[in-house]
Amino acid sequence: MDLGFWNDRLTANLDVYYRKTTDLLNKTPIPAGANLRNELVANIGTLENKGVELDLTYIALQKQDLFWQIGFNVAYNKNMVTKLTAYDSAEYKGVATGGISGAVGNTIQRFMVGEPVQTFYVYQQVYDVQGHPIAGLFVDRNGDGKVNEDDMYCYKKPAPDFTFGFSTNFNWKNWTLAASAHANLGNYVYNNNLSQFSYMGDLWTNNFTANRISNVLQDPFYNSDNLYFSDYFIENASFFKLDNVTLGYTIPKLFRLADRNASLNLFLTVQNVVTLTRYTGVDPEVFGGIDSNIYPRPRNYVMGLKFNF
Amino acid sequence: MAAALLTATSCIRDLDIQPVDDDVVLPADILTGVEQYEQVLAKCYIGLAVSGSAGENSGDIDGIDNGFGQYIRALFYMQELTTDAAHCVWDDKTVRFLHYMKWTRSDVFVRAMFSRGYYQISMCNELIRQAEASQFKDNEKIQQYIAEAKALRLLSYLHIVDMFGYEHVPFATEETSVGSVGPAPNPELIDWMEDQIDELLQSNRLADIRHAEYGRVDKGFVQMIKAKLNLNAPVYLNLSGAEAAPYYTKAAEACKAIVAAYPALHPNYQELFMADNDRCTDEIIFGVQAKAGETQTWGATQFLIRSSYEEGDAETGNRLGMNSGGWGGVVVTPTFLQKFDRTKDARFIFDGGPNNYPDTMDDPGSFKTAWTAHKFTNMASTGNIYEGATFVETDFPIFRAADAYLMLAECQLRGASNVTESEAKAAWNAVRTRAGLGNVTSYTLDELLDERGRELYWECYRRSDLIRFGKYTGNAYLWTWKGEEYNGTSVADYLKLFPIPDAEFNTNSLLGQNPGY
Repeated sequence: MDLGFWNDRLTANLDVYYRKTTDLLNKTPIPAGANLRNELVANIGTLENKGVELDLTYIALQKQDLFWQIGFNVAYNKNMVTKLTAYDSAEYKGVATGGISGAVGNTIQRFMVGEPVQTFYVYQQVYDVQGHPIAGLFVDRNGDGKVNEDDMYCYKKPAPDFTFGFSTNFNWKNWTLAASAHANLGNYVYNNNLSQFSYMGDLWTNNFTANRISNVLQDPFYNSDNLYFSDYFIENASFFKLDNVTLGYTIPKLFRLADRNASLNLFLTVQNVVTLTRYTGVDPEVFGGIDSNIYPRPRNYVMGLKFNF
Repeated sequence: MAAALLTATSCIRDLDIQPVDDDVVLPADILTGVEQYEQVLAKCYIGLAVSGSAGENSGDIDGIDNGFGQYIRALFYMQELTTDAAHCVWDDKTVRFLHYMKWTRSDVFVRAMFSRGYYQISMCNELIRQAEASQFKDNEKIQQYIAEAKALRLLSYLHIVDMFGYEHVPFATEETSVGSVGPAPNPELIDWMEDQIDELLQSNRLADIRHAEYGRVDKGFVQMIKAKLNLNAPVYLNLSGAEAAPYYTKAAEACKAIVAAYPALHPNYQELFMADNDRCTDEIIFGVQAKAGETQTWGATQFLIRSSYEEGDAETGNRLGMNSGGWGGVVVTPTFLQKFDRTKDARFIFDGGPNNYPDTMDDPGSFKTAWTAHKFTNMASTGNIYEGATFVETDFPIFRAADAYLMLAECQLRGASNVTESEAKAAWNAVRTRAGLGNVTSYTLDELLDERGRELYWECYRRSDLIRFGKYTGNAYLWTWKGEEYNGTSVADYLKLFPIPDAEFNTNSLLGQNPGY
């Protein structure tokens, strides 16, 4: 749906969608004894996507020497896996995915019927009265008196519920000021660095002290049972990022050429200006939701001169 | 009626279609001679040795890391990590749960064993199916290959029945149709196995005991399966007293055949687990071969040796004929170490590494608080180290004569009618003498269980033995970290069997679950 108001000073675009994807490939178990493998790739999965997207562009000021435009968009998406195997038995815990660093063959996510894509599949951490995790202690979610794989649960997902985009462009005489920003809400990240470097038993390795993450000062883990699979390491990574700010000044008549003026454009750009988030890792924006990145994203300052002849 | 027949005939050839895709190769295009069948048979053997045909990082089964899914490694996880003889300290998935005895229906290691077992069974079935339908089926060699495949299939069925029970597992033979419909269980599975054993022992298609080339199965291999199946059958079938006795007699019959063919044990215990142990044909009845150049895998003896020293521990690495890249994973409980006479027993091959780690196993997540076993080594008995020292040459003995010696004594203690006490003691004492110990003084089942532990640890029999002696579940016997408590605690009886993996229930509606899961 496209709308325009006040002489198209405000234009809006609204999309509402529901998409059902069928015949998705899934590596599905096949009956033992009737084949030479235990899994085959089959066109068997079904996935649902629902969402709303809204785009707004508003021209706030439009006068001689003065122009200000603001763009804003917001999108909401929700997805769910609805079918994975020939007979979806309640016992089936889905397809493991999302390999993590640390130990061998560990995965932290699942494709599971009735859950969002790549939902985290974890144990529920128990905390002491001060709010610190008690290492090796997890909630017996099914109440059978023991904590085992049956107590793992689906907790959050890497995809955001809402994504926002924002851009603005302000021109006054020869000056321009532009900025862009974006934000995600409801995206969660498995902090793999935290899980990998929190266990104090590994402090002394190969006759050297190994690096630990500074988090061990408040939450050290002295027991590594199921450590990697604690929901403690799943953090809300909602963020707001001011990506880009540019200030520019144009000198339209620097000098005269044969038939035209040569101009000069001076600008100063800052990239990756600020990130607002409660996520404790280096960068909350992690594709796939598993963070084992140890390199921070640089902030760039760019100063430039642009001649036009 | 005639019309119906005509219609039926007319469509027969229409369904007899062949794929036109050049990338699809049909069995008929490959199995063009007797030699090609030998290659299929080779796959049945190599399935026990490596995780896949394309090197150490390939796998025949899915849903599991390729190294974890190797047959012997999967077997070790089930049979040793769940007992007093071993524990793995890693953070890999649920690996510690095996020792804590708290696995579930969805456990990946349990599923790896199940899938591996059925992969072997299906591969053997395929060879038998193709060979019996082929133009070469009367060829003597083909007949022998069929017999070997049947024997190898029995080994995997023995493992499956031992770990998953006989009542709820799929039953597949060469007659089972291939495709998307899973086979049903067979309540007479154990009888079927007995029949297969008898058929192979009576047939002249399988090499006589000690007459096959090393690494291939013969009637001695089938005798060992007969001994194991019958000795454990009273557990599988829940029989006791007079009902169980005939099984012990049958098991003893098989043990006696082995003892007669292997009248003396190999004189040196350690040599049975060294890089050149393929020379120990005086005791190893069947070994899964390892060749550093040809059978590269992260499972089998490669796993057993690498897991017994830490990354960077060049000293132990050198001693074991390896480089310094240890994995520091598998340790032994203090409960188990107490069973040995540390000074006299030649089988006491444990230590705490160059850093002298304590043997207390305080931290089940650390390699630094427990001892480990160095019984398996890549060093040759001649002191030679094999090329590369990356992959190992040490074969994994599936069946050893010493096991039959001890089973013979056990049959007598359990009431087999065809063994005398002096025969039984002589067999047991032969095992003790080789270990450097004196004759047995306490001729009891409890002592025999300990002897089996000392003799056969890390050879993938510990779990079955503890179950047969009533020491696995409950609190009759506790070991360090059993039931996830340092001093051990009682665990429920249903854990004697592993669960049928939950993934199977999405594909085969004819299966049932073992009680308790």
